[in-house]
Amino acid sequence: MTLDVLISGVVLGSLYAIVALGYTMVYGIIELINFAHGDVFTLGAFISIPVIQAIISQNGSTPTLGQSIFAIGAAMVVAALCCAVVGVVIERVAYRRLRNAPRLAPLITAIGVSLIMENAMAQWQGGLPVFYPTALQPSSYTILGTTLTNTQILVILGALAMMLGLDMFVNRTTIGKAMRAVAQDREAASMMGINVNFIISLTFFVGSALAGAGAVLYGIDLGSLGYDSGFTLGLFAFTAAVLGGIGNIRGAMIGGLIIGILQEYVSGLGNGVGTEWYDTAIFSVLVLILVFRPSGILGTNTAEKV
Amino acid sequence: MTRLVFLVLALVIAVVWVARAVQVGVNRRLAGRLAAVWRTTGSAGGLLHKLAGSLRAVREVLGEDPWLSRLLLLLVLDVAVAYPVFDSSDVRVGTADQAEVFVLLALGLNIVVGFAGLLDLGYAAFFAIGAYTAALLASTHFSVGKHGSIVSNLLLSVGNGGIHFNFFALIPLAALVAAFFGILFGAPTLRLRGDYLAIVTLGFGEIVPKVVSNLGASNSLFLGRGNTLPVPNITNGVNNIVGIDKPPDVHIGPIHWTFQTNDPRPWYFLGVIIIVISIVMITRLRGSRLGRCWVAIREDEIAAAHAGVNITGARLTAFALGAAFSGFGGLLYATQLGTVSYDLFTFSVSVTILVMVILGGIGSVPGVIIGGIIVSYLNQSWLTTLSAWLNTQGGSFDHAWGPIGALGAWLHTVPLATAKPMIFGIILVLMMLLRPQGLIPERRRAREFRPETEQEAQEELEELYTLRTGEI
Repeated sequence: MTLDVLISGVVLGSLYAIVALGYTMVYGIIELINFAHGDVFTLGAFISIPVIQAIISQNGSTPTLGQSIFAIGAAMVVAALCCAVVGVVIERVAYRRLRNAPRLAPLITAIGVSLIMENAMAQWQGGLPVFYPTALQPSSYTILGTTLTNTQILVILGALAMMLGLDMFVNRTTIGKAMRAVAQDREAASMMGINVNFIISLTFFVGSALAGAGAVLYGIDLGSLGYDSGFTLGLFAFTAAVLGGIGNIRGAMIGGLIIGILQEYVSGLGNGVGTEWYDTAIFSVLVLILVFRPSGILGTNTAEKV
Repeated sequence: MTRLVFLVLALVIAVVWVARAVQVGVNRRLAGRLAAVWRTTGSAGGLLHKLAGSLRAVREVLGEDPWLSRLLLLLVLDVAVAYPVFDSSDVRVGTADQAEVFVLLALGLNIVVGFAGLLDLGYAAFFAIGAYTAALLASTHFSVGKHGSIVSNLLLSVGNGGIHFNFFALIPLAALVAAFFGILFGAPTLRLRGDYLAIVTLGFGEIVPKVVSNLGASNSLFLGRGNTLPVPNITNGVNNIVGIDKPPDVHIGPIHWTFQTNDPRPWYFLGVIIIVISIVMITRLRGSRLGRCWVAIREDEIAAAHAGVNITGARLTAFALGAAFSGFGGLLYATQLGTVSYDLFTFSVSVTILVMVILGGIGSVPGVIIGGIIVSYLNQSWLTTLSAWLNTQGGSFDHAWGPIGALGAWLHTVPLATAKPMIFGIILVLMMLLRPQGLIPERRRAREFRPETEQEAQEELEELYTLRTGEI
């Protein structure tokens, strides 16, 4: 594995990690695979397109660095807020009423929400991939004999900042403590005076906001996306979450990186033949991890909640 | 002539039904129940509740005498078999043929999701496996040897003209192959909670079409960086496999079915027979020891394990049997179409089958059949028709004043036919929120999904009391 494969793997992996965080947080707190999360991610990317277009004119003129930073920052904030609101609304409308229903019910609802969102975005943006506007004048640097583009640096730094921020939020603040408490035992937490509904809404808020902000980085990095991009991406991100240990936030970060590097590595094999097989490879990882270490890399083997 | 037979049969059944109903006194009891329903649910319930209550009363009273439901079933069967005799449109009967395949698939998925409570999101994978089993073993695709045929008998012929299994020999074969893959795909999740199964099956559902499209003539495998290994042409890759054999002609007594022409009717009759056999198998299974194990797992896995249910075995058999039905459906589908390609078996197909099960009623066999018919027709014809109708209606008043004109303009272009996923999504969400037990609920399942009414609680208490004390 050469250094450039590693770097592009880390870039892709950081994006997976950000999406995986949303899955793992929600699963940790209400034990639901939130299928709509990948589509919230796509929505974030679509919402951010007009924001960037409004700030940077797309007529071929070169944006200054200041313009780029402002545009990207504004796009990330807008996308994060919109996605956060959508995530909270989804939880409120579709999932909350089913919290005590049999397990299948919220899972099926989540699939329904995902289908609705995907088709709504297909009606809105059309069935073909949409080009993401240029927000950053491409440039590259040579470090240690390998080239590194400024987009890659942006994605890695942005993702790192978000992950560190989340880690601090969950581990250092009182509200983060409340989140961990609800994840551990919902009933006991409510007896300690924690507003469980608020904490669950907050979890959806934070997870969806991360997805929205990450989607901007994704759009800038990949340059185009379709209405169904979030579906496969969500599947891979979920694999990352399982790989790291579902419910474990640091695990999701590590899992994301591993999956990203694996995808880039397999894609590079056999003169490009690997691009036909990388999804099979990632999926095999999911199956293998479920067979041999279902608790994931960082997860501890806990007894199931009854 | 045939029409007359069906009509007379229907008439006879109807007369016998009425006679039986009068004999056991349905009319008196039903009248009493209905009066009670309309009296008691009046104040708070409203009309809708009264109607629902009446329907339930009709079902309950009719359910008290087994012969009434058996006769009713016979009538339904008579109508189902007679349908293509009365409908002269080949297109419409062809639509019904496809609906039959989907009903079969829905019945199979119902074993996994409904009976055992395991969510399978990659059900189309087994559908694909069944279809490709047919495509590979009953077409000109695999040419063996150079000169003529090597083996040739009633069941199988192999030669340079391809491998050709007899359709009826393929039925168990396709089911077995699919069941094998069902066990293979289900095994990794055995130690885990059921919803991991959802994601793993979803993944397999994505992988199977991908692998199928990657095993064609122009594809290769990789052996590390730069080294590739061409794969043999197993599935024809992204291209279709065409010329799948039709079933052999059937001539038994007055029945003469030939599958070589474009007439969809023989397919329809074959489908009815297959579905009836499947229903008998499935209802027998549900009442069997295994079926009761599935229900126990669905309701409380830990309690079931402590009661001595073999969780691993029951889960795997549910998965394998569900897959077998799907493989079976795939075989029927592939031979009906005469061609298969990898993109016929995407995630949207899995979801469509899931919508059938949810809409009809999870775990309820009649519900799933109704759900299958409704969704299949929505998918194939109703939505397109409705869309066209709305578009012309909208076009007639899109120049009207203000919001009415806007509504007209919107209706004129509303893309209902391309919004199938959204409609299915809405069905899923609404059913789960408002009527999780489905249109025609299974009794036990209905109770599980909603809190029991006071009357039911009272009845249950009385039942327990009777059991304990022997008093009535």
